[in-house]
Amino acid sequence: MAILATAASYVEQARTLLQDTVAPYRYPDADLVMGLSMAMEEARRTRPDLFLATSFVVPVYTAADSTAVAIDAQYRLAFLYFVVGMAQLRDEEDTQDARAAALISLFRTQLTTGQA
Amino acid sequence: MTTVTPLSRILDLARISLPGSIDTMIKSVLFDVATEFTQKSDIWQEEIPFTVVAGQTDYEIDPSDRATINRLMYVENGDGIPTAATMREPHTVVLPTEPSQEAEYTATVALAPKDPVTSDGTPSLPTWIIEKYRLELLAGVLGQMMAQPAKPYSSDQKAVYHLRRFRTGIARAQVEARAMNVHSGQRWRFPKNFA
Repeated sequence: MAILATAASYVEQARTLLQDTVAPYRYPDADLVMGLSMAMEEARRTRPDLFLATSFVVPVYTAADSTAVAIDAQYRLAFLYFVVGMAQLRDEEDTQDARAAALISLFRTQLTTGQA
Repeated sequence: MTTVTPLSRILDLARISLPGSIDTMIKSVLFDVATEFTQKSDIWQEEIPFTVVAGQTDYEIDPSDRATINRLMYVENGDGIPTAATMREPHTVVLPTEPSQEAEYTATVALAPKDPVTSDGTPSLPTWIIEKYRLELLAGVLGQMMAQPAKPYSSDQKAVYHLRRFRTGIARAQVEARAMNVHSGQRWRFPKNFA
């Protein structure tokens, strides 16, 4: 089974990285799913070729369900980093801001340079 | 075990040489590369017979393969004698004068790939062209991909190198097309009516 292939799997893995796996959650599902949609739009800006197969239609996700996330396997981890980064961006602590910026930057770097 | 074909070799080597590239993008670029290669070299040719009738100068012709006509090379009449003709628009042979009687003519045309592509997204090209010019087509793909900005595989320097190899390959194919793949061959043939 492919990893990070559905919206639910992105939310699940994001919660693991956020250490937010026990309900009631600090980061609602809706916020994490919104982060995934934002990642798609950001990817469309920097790597339009990722959406060539879908005629450049940018998907929008509304729930942490089994909706397929059709991103090439080599870039799925980058999208996860963006979701986690966007979630942490809402926190006020300085350390969280730095980590959030680093994760979002890592997403962009992996998409445009391929470097980890 | 997956069967290796000349086309799959191009795609596999492109994937390896272009880390972070997307298959769909490689195939899209391969279509452009194949188009440029065939359009500039005239390597892909086909003889299309058509019937001329008295009083008509324009004739529609279509290639048998999934291709578009890029250039009219020459037209021969039923006796194999070159006949004057033009192609104002692709797929329409225009004779300068109306034939006086019905006859079978043959138009030799140069082809280029055409949409839609095959079911796996690759351009429709004769296998022998992919086999013979595999390295040149690969160079074209690598060059065009590496010339793209802000990609993990972007490299202006390597793009120039590969595109130079690709253009050299086009020139070689053009010469070989003219010589009909004959070593030290020549393109024109002695007109039969002089024999």
